[in-house]
Amino acid sequence: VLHRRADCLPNLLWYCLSSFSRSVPVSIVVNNAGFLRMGYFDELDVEGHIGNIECNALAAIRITHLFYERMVNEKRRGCIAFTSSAAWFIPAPYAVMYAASKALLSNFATSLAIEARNHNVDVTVVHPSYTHTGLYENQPKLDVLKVLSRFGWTPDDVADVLIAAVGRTVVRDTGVYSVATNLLGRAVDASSLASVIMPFRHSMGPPPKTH
Amino acid sequence: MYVLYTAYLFDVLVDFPVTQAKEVLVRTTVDISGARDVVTKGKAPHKVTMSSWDAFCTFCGVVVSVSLTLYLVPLLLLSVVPQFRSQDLRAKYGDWAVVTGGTSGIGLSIARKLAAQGVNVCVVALEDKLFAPSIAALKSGYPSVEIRAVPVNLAKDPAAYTKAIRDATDEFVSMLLPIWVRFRCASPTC
Repeated sequence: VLHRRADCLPNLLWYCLSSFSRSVPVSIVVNNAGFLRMGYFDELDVEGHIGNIECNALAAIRITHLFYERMVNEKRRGCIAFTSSAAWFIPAPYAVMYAASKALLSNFATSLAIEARNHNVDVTVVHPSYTHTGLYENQPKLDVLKVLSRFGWTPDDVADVLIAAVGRTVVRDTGVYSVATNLLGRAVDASSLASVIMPFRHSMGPPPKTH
Repeated sequence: MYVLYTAYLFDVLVDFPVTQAKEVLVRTTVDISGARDVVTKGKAPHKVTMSSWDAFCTFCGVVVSVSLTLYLVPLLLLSVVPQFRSQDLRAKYGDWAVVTGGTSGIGLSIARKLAAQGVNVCVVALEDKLFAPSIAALKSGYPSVEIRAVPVNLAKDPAAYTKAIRDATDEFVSMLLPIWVRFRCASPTC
């Protein structure tokens, strides 16, 4: 018996050492989490604004880094998709942080897409138009949104578009609003757009706080 | 630029035939003859001079056309051609996915569609009122795949959510269990 144990000891040691922690081979990453806070910039707290950037953009960057690094190290073909928004194509008053965070996300994604080609990782960013989701819950019901909601997409349709776009295109605009504002944004410069929207700021905005 | 594009179209549709008909329209011309050769019926091609306005409009037209074509054609192809309207991500990339915000809206739809393709999904989302029912629905709807749930707030404490996601996508593969079984059952002394 002793002889058998001694014989097995290196074996046992080998098995102990070969116990290891490994990560599951994640090859599809969808950075979709995000929220919208509408209202006057000054009336919402600044930490909430920063938190909005944290969730919409910086968390996506951290999560992308985590899994992109694994894909590269493990030489695994993969894809990273982002649900951005068409909100940043033209100035978006009363949703300033949302637009800013989505602009960050889209720019990050399109730049990363080029680098990621080195490692066979596909990066895609989707710009949906108004979609019927919980995004607008507990937010002021702006007239602009009421109009856009008539042309709203269902989450299933946007999901289909995202899944179909992965690895085929870097940027995918979905919906009339997205395509129209993209074209508008490339035809008219940001400064002129801001000047044109400015006279309508009162009618567009949420009800002012009653002091 | 679109105004210029319209000007270009106007130029091509109206102005150019006029130029052609009158044959010679003496303007202050920049002669880039040879740039536009016009083939007329049964005759050898003859050269048409291009005014600087023509050249300018042509330039604008080319810029706008290229810009619009590069943007709209892929968009059109992706939304019209049947084989571009869906794809099997499991076959293309693999069988594990991470979806953030996967308990509602677009994220939930994506998680469902991935699970339907046979992809195991790790759902990272805020633990709100939708969290438990959405995860339960995913688990019961797609029993053949593994659904892992990571309840975190992505707006706060990056270190905490990074660790939670890391932990959820790690698995401890132990070789101790098989050897224990081997010792217990393969040994003649037991």
